[in-house]
Amino acid sequence: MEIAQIVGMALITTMLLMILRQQKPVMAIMLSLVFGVMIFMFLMDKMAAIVNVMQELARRAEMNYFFLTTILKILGVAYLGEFAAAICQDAGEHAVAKKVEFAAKIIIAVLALPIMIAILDSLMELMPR
Amino acid sequence: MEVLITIVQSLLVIIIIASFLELLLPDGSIKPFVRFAVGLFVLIAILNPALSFIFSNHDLKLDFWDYTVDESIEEKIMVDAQELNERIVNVSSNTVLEKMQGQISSMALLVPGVEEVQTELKTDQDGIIEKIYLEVTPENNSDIEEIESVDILNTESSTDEYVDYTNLENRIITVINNVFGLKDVDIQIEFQGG
Repeated sequence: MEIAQIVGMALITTMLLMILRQQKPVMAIMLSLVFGVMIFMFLMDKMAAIVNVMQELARRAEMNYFFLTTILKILGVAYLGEFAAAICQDAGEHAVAKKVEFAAKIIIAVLALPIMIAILDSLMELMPR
Repeated sequence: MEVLITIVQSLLVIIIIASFLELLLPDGSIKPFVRFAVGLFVLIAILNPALSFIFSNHDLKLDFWDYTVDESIEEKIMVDAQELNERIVNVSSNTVLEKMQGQISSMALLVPGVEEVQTELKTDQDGIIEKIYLEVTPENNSDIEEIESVDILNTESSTDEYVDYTNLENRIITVINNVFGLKDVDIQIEFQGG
């Protein structure tokens, strides 16, 4: 039962964070980061399985692999941005958190550009001249 | 009809993928951006097969990012390409080797006293010549120095005659070395009928 392990780890981390936040706030942020990395490592296999299934589905649908890869990259960027912003907000640095979110949004927009151009090109080709 | 069925099947899979991606979206202020990107993905995934079906000879301008190769096919292509490459290299090296053998035989034939020459080249893995075997048939009326056998035991005078091919061999080797620049290559000459 992986969820039990995760819940256990989360409870312990929360208790430690409550203690550390009052006495050593820097250490609390470090612990929060370490917990995030641990969760990420813990779920690495599961994430790989999800990506594999999606790749297989895309292959069956004869879908362009480039687009699926781009979407998965966008998801990754979104999650990383969210995590980083949350950690910054926990540390009380709301301004930094906003900037991280802004950076994530820009990167997502840049990643989505090729898909947008592909759609536009396709539609423009259909337009009568 | 079959094409239509294929497109409908593909659309179903695309809808499942899109729903799954929707589940995976993170909460927070980034969510609308990701939803927009996923929407674009769904749009192009649906648009592409549908337009390909309607305009079968239509270029949808998906250009460089439209290029995909199935991994299993890619592996087969790589193996086939390697085999083909090896075959081409072998054929070309054999041709070059045959031409070289002919050229060496021709050069050896120019040496006075040589009637016929058969050349065989031995190369290493990189195609560099290691050894040259020459099978030379000397002319009968050549000016090859003939040495009478020396009778050591001083008995009856012998009628056997030994032909000295050293001079001819040296001349052939010199010609081959000078023309082809094969100074480091071992040249072995065997005389026929000598």
